[in-house]
Amino acid sequence: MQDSVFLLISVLEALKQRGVEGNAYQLLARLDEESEVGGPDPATLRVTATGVHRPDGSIADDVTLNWNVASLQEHPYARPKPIILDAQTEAAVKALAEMARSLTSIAEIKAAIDAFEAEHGLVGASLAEQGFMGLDGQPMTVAEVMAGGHIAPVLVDITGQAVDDEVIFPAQYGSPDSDSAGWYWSATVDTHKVGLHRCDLHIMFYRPRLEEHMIQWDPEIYTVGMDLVVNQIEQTNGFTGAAIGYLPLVEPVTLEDPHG
Amino acid sequence: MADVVVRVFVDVLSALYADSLEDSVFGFDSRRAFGSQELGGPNVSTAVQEGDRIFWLAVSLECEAYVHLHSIEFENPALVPAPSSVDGVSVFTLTVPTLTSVQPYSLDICVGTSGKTMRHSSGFSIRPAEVIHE
Repeated sequence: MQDSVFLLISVLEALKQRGVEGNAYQLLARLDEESEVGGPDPATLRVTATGVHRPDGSIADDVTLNWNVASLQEHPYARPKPIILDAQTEAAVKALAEMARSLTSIAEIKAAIDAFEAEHGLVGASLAEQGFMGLDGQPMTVAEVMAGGHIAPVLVDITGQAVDDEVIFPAQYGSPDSDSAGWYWSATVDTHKVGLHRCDLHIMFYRPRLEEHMIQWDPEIYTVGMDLVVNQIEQTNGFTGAAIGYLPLVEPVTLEDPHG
Repeated sequence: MADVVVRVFVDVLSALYADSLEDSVFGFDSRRAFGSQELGGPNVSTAVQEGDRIFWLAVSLECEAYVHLHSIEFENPALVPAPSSVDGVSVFTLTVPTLTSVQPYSLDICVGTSGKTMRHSSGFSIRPAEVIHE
């Protein structure tokens, strides 16, 4: 079973309050169950991992948790947020791409890029040198960018008691995910360890700072705690609700708990 | 004056299965500190100030499922959000006039690729901000 934990972060408020607590909202997307929002208050971060076990107590299905972090302030689609500002440069980029098709040697391609960069200075430019696209699709002014929140936060680590006690085994992976340029955190859960566990999510934010008319982005890491509840259910036949081992024709049967 | 984002998350599979948006719409906004209410539910009420620009975005809970905003209709006919498209993504915007009371609105959301539009009636609203920072 895979559970996707979607953390939606109000970046402006988190930067203002220098913390994530109360500014991260949780959405759970379960492929085989109903989607749910985390409890009565979506700012309470709590995930339930349901361990499926056989009547003898052995694990029948593992649980994988996937964490995605996204910003409330941005467009939710995978595309470069920095944009090329003027139409003239855009035309030059198209011309460069067109010309690149006719080039045959690496030296020629390098010369073409050098010539382009001498004029436009864009290829591989840092975030500080590029423009940003606002929510209305228009280029943003420096003042608008300075208002903050335009670089999505990134989950950089998962630590805490749940990790120390080997309840979860988190690691970062890559996939075609739309919100974090393909990076997400995933963890398998040891569903033998039934009960309430705690882990800390370390999330890196970028705070804009104006330096010599250029915007610098200072990373700041804030931590937010998440409850992990591991429970157990017994494996059943999906058609009848009966315990495994019986044909789908019989009435649902409840076995005695082997642990008493 | 600020840019305010209302993100409307839609559980597309549940909505198509139930043929209704009930229990399948989760609203979030970026104005909790200004007094927004019921974040994460079907009745999110976004706190705004005069001059704020509101942006509405519809987002599917799963990356494979398609959803977009078809229209937004306030009960108050004076408030008319403008449709626009940013890189093919449907975005509605409204510049907030002077508000003295809560203004509810309905959302028409296009769910899935069949072109089916479903209505989420008057659960969402905008309200005058309670706290003024800055």
